Amino acid sequence: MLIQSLLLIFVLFSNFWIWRLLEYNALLGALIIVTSTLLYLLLKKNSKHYLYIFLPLFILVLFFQWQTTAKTSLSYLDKGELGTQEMRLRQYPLVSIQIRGKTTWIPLAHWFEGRKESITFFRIQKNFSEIIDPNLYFFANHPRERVGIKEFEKFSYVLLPFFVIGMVSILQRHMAKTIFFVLAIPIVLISLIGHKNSLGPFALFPFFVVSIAQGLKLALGKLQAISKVRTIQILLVSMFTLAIILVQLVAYVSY
Amino acid sequence: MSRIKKNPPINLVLLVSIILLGAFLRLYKLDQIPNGFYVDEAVIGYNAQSILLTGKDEYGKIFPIFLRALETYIPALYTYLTAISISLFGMTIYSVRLLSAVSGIISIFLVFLVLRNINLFKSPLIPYIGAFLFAISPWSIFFSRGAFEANLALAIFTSSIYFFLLSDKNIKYLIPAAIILSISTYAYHAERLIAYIWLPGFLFLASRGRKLHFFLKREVIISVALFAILQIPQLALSTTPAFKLRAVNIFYQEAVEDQAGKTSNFLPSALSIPLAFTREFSSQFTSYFSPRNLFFNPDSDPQRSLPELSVFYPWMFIPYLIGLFLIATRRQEQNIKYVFLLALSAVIPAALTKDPFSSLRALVLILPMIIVIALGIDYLLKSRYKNIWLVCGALLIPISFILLWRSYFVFLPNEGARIWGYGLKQLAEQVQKHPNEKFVIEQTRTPPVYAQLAFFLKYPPEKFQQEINQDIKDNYYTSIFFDPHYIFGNVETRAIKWGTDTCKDLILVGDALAVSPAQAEEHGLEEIFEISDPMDEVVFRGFHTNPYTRCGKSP
Repeated sequence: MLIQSLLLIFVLFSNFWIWRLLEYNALLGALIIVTSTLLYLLLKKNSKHYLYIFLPLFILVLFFQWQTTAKTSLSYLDKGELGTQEMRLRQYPLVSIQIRGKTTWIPLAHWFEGRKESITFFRIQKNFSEIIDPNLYFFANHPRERVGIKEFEKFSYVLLPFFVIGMVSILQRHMAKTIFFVLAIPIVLISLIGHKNSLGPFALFPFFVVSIAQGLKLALGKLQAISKVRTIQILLVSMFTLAIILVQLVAYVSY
Repeated sequence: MSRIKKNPPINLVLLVSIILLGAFLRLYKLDQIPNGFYVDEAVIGYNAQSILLTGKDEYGKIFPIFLRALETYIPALYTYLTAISISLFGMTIYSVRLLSAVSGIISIFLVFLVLRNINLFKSPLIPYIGAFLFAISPWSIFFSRGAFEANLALAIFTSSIYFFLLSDKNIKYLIPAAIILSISTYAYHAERLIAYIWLPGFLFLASRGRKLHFFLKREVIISVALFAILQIPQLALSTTPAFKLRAVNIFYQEAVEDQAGKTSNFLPSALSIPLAFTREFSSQFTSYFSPRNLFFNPDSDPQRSLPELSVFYPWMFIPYLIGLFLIATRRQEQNIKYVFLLALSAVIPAALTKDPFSSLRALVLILPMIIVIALGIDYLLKSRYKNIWLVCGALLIPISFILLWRSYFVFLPNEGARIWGYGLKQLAEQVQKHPNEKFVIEQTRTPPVYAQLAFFLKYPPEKFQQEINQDIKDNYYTSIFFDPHYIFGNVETRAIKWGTDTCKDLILVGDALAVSPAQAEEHGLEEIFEISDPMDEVVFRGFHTNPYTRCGKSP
């Protein structure tokens, strides 16, 4: 239990994201730390008590996500996008069908490029794609940084394999519930309100923290099968690696 | 579904229909879309013609192993095979692209064979569905419709994978598998590394822990030996730029040094450089599995992407995620390990290059991705909500075709024309219209144009070989200097020399910004033609000089 708690604390505080959130608003940072801890406990113990405390706090996190995002209408087009729209409207061929000898023109160009519904659909798709990119969370969106958005480091890239291991493990055990509450709701919300938030999609932070902690726990569990001397050697090498990567990322952030 | 399993005629009709659909999507308007003729395609086409007629490439080198192409070298197999289509259909854009299209069509069948033999799926429909998804995938269609060597390499590599899978049951198939794998390295650069990861990786996995017993098997020894023997021609050049130049040029050394520089105050370079490399490589590697790059965003290179469409359709993201989850949970299965290895082999070479998510260099990744997506669909077809998913599929397929039509057949011919070298065919027509005039084509602002012009003008290769710098032939694999200055026929490609060219009787050609209206007026230039792309933007302008009034020369 002590090791698991230490792992959770390590993951919670060894990332740049939480410090950015705390720097922006200590209360928001604290709320996210508490929510992440509760999610960890909820998944571990599967107790309704934790669920009742977790849910309102998580809804509050979602509210802050909504409040801190620079929202734009899903069908709004800026000057450049209007230019592209106009250019594309001209590219479509004329399409018509004959019904009882009468020609009916099909306004395909307008349907795909002009209608608000299409613009909204493609915008939601764009927002969705931006937040499901693992590079956003582990590499500050490198190598495909977004234009006009200041990317920032979130989690150390060395934690990515543990995130994958942990996520698979969590999804195996708590699939529907976990996906719905901590993954699907923030993703749907951000897809609708947009990804332009200087704090990033922090409503997903609890899921990331819990997945990484779970992955680390499983990896540590594998060490039990080997000798103590080897375990200590592996742990020392791992801690050294984590430390120098942390120094590397601190240098990037402060550059 | 049971009917599919038991009824061979239905199976055959289904498979043939899928291949015919794939063939239509790859051959329809092949010479018109992409709209233009890219310089790399022209280099292949002109060299194929040269080899067909003279047995030598444009520099006069007899049957080179690596073809010298502009400032780099490319594996020559595509060019040699294109000589066949040029001999059949003439020197046309269609002939140059045909091999890639045919490779794409053959790959549909090969993907079907791989899926049928990989033993991962419960539903007998899945090999057909996988082949169908491959047939309609924007990734395969796009690279099948341009003269991309990578697409030929994919077809060869996929056939070797099929034999590798067969060899897991009957080891005698390891021999053709290794031979074909070795041949694939002569088709595209990436396969040169992919093969060296895949072969030892596969043998290691196939040994199932009984390494010594397995590696001493006659078939294994013969396979490795044949693979190695076939590599000798390439390896003989391993110390030359021809072998390594491409890899050196596209490696992200600058990015690594730049990142290491940021940590130089904190860490010694012995640590900062490996760390910077690790981060760069990891980020590139991860980006090849990111749903954002696979299903939503097009490749960032406009010449290798479709406007508004990624390499797969957005809806495939759902079966992809399910497939990934199943891969993770079934990781102990032997064939799942092969899928892992396949994905690793496909991505490692691409992740060592600086372009973010290069859909061209990672083209082999399409194979494991189709397997993963097919796994997801297999799961959905066996779920309680099978009928709902079938209805969804029935709706999503036409939507996919509409998205493909919109991006490939509406946007690409217009928006992609300039980048695909639109206008050079029309420029060649202008050159042919003025056989007694000398053309100077401004070359500092545009990619090299000599290959497209030589191709469209059908300039005799034997003359071209004689007029080119003869030193290159002698140092073919070692001299990496490329000069875009060419003189052949009545064409010269170089920078305009404003001091002297305007005093000669010439036609000066440049893009929209090469000759300003003020320059034209100052030098007494008379515009004689203008070539615009489908977006009505000027691609080339041709000006007649006026030496008689400008420099006082008598006509």
